[in-house]
Amino acid sequence: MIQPLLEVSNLKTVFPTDGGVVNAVNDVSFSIERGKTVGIVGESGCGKSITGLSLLQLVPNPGKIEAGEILFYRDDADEPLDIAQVSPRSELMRQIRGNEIAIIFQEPMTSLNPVYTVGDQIAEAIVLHQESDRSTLTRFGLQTTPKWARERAIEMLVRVGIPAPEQRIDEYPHQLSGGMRQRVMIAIALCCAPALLIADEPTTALDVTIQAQVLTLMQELQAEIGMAIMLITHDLGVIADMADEVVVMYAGRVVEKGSVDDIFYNPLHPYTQGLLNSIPTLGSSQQKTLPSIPGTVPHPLALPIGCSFQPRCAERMSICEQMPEFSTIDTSKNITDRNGKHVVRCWLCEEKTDVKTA
Amino acid sequence: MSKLLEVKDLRKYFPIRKGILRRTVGHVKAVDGISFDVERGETLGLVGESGCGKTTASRCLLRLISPTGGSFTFGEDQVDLAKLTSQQMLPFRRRIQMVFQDPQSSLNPRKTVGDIVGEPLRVNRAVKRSELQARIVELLESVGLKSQDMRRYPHAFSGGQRQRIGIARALALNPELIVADEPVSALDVSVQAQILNLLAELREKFQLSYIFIAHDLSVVKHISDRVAVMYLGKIVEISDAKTLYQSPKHPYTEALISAVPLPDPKAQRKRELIRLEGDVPDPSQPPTGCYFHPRCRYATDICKQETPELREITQSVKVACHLSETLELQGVS
Repeated sequence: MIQPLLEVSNLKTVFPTDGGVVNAVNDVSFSIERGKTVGIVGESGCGKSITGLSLLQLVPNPGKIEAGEILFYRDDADEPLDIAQVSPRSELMRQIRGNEIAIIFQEPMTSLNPVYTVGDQIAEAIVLHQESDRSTLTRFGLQTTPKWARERAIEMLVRVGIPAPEQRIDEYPHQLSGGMRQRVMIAIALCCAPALLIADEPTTALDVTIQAQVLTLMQELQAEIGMAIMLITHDLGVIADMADEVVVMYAGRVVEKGSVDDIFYNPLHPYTQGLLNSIPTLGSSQQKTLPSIPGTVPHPLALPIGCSFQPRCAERMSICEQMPEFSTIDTSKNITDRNGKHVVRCWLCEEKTDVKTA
Repeated sequence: MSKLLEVKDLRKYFPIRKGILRRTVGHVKAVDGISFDVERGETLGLVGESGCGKTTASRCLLRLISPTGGSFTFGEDQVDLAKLTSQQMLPFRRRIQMVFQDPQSSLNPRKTVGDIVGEPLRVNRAVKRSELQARIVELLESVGLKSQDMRRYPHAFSGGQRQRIGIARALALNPELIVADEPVSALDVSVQAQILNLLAELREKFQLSYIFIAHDLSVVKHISDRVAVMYLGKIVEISDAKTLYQSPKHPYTEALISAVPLPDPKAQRKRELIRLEGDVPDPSQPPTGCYFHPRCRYATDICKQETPELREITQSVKVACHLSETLELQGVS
């Protein structure tokens, strides 16, 4: 078996609030293989972004990783590193962030610094991670970008397909269009050739034609560098286009995961089925009314008992409301293992396999 | 069916002012001569990338901003709304209503839902005070909310429910035309489907017409009878929804459709994708000839020199392209 790049098991990220503890990420497990793309789908508030941030120890206050392992198989080490145990402010974490695992965010305007030129921002990442002699970096006073870093930054701009990079490098983020800004973000993320790129809704703020450009660019660079991508999005079309593996999340938990074909052609969890049915498609299968999932995502402090999806589920059974049962069969029994990979967290599938095996 | 709205050569230019004297040095042609009709009971979809002028066009139709030129006539009496003063506009305002994109910022957080939905009724003295409560309850129930919700504040509702409140407010005065500007783009997929179904249901129930503005082509396809595609302030193609997606006639429409990833991995792998190069040009300095020619893969010399007019190719299909007769463009089946 190929060794994965990253193995997340039973990850639990919590936010203690005045109203109670929010389990933003609850018992999430998945793995990412080298050079592959894993898509994380779910609606807002399902914990997909916090999962991404947890991998980099960037969970905002007061959140913290409470339990679980994030095993990161680094290139030079024999033993995997458990990121969950690394302190967020440690030197080791700083070396990993941006260098081995990079992240790009949804809104490129807010993630770029408006008072620095794009060239300086790309060069910053390069100098920070590749300059062995840190004395050239000055924290206070004037900071100059070394010439070699600037050249490397121009090279990166060329690679992400920005025209006239020699001029663009001295421009500020507000002078660029949304698609250009996202390209700059990608350039920053990729300048150290990371092993894993976490892309959190990278194209949600962009127009479709620009989205297509950015997605193609990501695919090309992935093939070139051989990095893995963890793609967080709510757009199932983008997932179908990009992902090899898909993880479907609902209310902080993984409800189904499998290969992209498993999820799209054989969805087993009622939530996955509902999600796939409720999107209007461009194809000819025009229905008068869209099948929709009734109700809304539950409030994180008032999760329903048992399966979180149960109040909205059309195939609800009495057993779905039983919390104790649900928790006991949580990972070992409830998840049905098909073709080694397609796993579902639902009582319905539990029953079907019982019948099959019997 | 009769025409409810007829738009002819609608234009909106925003001046660019520079220097101490604030002299006008140029114009951003946000909407540059668009013409279309909306039939009674019909949904017209308006698609295009950001900055193509779809929102500006809708604001002009509501007279939230005054158009620079052109005309649009509304209703049986064929009144040209573009020429009316704001005083004369008043009786028409209640007949055209709007649903906004962001339900968070379009509802006043200090007012209860009852006040928000009841405000158009009070301002227009549309119902007697004694009947106000009953009317508000009726409106809330028609969009799937409960009567007790009228005493709650917007923050207590989820995004989808807030959008329902916005729709109830738009329905309050029994309008004939509703302009919906990206009504579902801020919502989650599962909730988006609920709102789309609600809009379709209300159209049947109250014989409404919609102008439905969105950047999501699949959403527009689902709800619209006819679709107009805009690029840089102009309509490049307008035709009935099915034809537009199956056999687009304008290269831009083809590229737009191709850029939407299908939620079907096998079909997506097989598709030949057309990637448009570059960004939408600056609307203050549009290219010569056809505005789309620098990004068009079929462009010839004539495209660089002459601006194509929107012309009728077959019945119900209008395209602004020099080459539309010769091109074989691919859509989605």
